[in-house]
Amino acid sequence: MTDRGALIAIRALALAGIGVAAYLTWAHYADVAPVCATGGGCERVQNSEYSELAGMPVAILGLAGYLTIVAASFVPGEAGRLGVAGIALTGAGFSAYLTYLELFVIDAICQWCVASAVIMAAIAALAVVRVVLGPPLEPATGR
Amino acid sequence: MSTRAAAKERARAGRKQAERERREAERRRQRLFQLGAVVLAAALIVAVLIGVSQSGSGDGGNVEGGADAGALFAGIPQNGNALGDPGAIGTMTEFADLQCPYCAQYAGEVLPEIVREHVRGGGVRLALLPIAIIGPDSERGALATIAAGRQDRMWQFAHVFYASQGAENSGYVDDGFIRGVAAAVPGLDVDRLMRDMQRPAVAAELRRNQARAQLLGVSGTPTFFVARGDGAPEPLPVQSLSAEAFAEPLARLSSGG
Repeated sequence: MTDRGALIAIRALALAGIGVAAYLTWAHYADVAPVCATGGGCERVQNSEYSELAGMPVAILGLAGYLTIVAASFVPGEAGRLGVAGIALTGAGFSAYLTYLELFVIDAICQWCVASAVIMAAIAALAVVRVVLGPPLEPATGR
Repeated sequence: MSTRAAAKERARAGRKQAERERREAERRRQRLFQLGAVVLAAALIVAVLIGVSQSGSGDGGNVEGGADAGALFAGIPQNGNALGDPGAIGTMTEFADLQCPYCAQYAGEVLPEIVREHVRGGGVRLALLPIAIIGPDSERGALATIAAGRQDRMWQFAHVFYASQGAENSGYVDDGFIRGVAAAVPGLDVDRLMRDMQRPAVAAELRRNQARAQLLGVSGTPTFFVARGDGAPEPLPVQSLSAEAFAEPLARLSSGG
């Protein structure tokens, strides 16, 4: 995959993540159960004490994370690459923790949360590849 | 071009190539170093977030009343929703909404006297039927209370719940609140209660309570019925939520009169 292809994929995934996080944020504040294919799992996760971090819904944190990733993807050079990677790795790490809570503590699965975790992990993987490979080589000057 | 000039050109190209490779290797090392720093920073931030998350969860240590409930019901047999001697002559059944302030008032001010005077002596058995009429928090409260009954600690759980009531339908009956109440009840397995709340059997018991309340014409809580032996339940109209108002009818019930 080319650097440009990876960048486009990151932006597309981040937009999907914004959709998921925005829906969960709306469901949180509207106090409605998210549409769920896993029985009452989504509602149970949403009602759990882990759905908020210091009084703030974790869905908002996810939304902020995805928006920041999109913004950072437009920053040129190494700063942009490292910024996207840093945010995505943080998001993926915290998403992994939340997935652990769903499986082993809350004992319920919210498919929207799992979808967000997968999206964040995919962005993190692509961002790391972009950092490792570096910018595309500039064409030789002919001297 | 002479052979000598061609060799010079090849050597120059070789040096350029080596220089390019050296620079590229240097850049790769630098990028890997930067990536390591980013991974480390991300791990630190995640650790802080997890710490904040954990500190905000747990068993809600701000809930009190467990000791009172423990002392009030200590030594009295419990089985599911029933409190008291299974061989008692009479049974008083209460339909209650865990969000209802009058139910909390009854539990705090009247129930202790009834337990001391009529239940401990073995004359009256109490049955608690949680129902949900006020709102969603009532339903979660009822499910949690029924789940506590599966560990024969329904009465302690309800007692602590009442003592910790929040504003009606404010969404306060979340997992944290339920865990906090459950943790204040000695001997109650909090994780088991949280799992049991999700069981279809617990939801079915709540539906049965609702259906029974409807059948008996219950329109508010708390509403009381009394039954002698296996007899049909009869409404117990009380003039006020005071120990005096219950004293005479319960004395009659325990004497079989």
